[in-house]
Amino acid sequence: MYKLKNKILTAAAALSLILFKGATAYADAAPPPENSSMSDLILPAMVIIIVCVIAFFGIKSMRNKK
Amino acid sequence: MICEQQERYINLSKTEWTNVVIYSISHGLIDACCAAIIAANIALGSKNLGELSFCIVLYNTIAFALQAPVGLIVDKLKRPVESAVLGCIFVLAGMLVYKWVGFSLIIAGLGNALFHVGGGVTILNLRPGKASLPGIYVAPGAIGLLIGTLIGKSIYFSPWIFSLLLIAAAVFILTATKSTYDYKNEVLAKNSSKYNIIITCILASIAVRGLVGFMLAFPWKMDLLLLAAFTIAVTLGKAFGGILGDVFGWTRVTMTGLLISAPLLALGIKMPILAIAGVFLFNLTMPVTLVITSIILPGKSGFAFGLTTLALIIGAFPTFTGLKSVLCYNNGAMIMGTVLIMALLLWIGLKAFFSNKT
Repeated sequence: MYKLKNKILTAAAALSLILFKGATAYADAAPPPENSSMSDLILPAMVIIIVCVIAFFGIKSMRNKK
Repeated sequence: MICEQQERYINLSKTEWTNVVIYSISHGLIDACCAAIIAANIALGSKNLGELSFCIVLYNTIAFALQAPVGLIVDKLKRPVESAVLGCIFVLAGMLVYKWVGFSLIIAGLGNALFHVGGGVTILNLRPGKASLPGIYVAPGAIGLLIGTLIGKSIYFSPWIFSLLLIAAAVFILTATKSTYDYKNEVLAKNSSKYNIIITCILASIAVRGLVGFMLAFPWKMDLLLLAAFTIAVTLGKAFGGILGDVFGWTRVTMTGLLISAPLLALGIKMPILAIAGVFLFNLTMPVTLVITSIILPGKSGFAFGLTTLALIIGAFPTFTGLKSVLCYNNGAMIMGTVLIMALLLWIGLKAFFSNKT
């Protein structure tokens, strides 16, 4: 189990490096997003956060029924 | 591996077939209506693109994220059929006031959430523990979105025709023979750390799937024929994922599909045929992750269905922000890396799930 955990962590680290490399290479070259404003995302983000809290307690309540 | 070996082929009764056909077609219709509302407003040009993109993000958030609390309520009230019918009515209302784009998309989004959960509970309960039927139910959504977008932008768009079709769908749903619903409250996982690993890894893999779905912004998708082929591949992938998974084993089918799809999607930026094959294989995982979530939350199919769509919108959310320019830049290495991360998460989740069952 310990070996498996190490393998998983190594694989995850390697994949993260690939992603990071890709992201940094293209971040400067990429065009800015069209018609987007961060303030427009506050309401959707709030909805998602509230739903996540509800979902967390939903899952937790199921576990407590064991 | 018990679940994978037992009763591989499903013989459906006439009632079960009727339910699957009605809910699957209605699902495509609901998604087509919502896409048509958005496309018609883009074609009308009544709002500037900034306001419209805000409405679209809000619609997506309501339609996907609210399925989790809606699922909890539907499970509590034990009224999935009524939820699906109410969903049709809400989308119908949104369609009729489609020119008030903000209001229209909010009620259509809520209707979308109600329908998906109602239909999802009904289909998941037809053959509990099997991925074939949920895959067939979810699959027409992608085709619906494409058809709705095309009609919404065209001169043939008529809210009245969509409204009549929605009324017909609601009537068919009400008249279809009801399936039996399993509302027993017990948790399958024997130990809590396994339970945490299963639910976290499966939902995280779904979130990454949502992200990849938005990352695949290939330039050749401007070509209508290629876009149609791409959408059909998504639909077939979801539909066959469950069938192939039930026959050959969930782990075998999903892991093979994901590992082959990673290089295909990465190379598909310039070669559409590879991306189309890749997206078919990539979507094979969808029904399996949905059914596993419903198995680990027994008696809570609505909530389980909602959790998967909540994970999808969380995964897709970064593409609504400034990160879009990085994530959707068609970087092959990034697409491949993200698909492999998803494969890793799913593999851990499946391993924990089957080791817990045996």
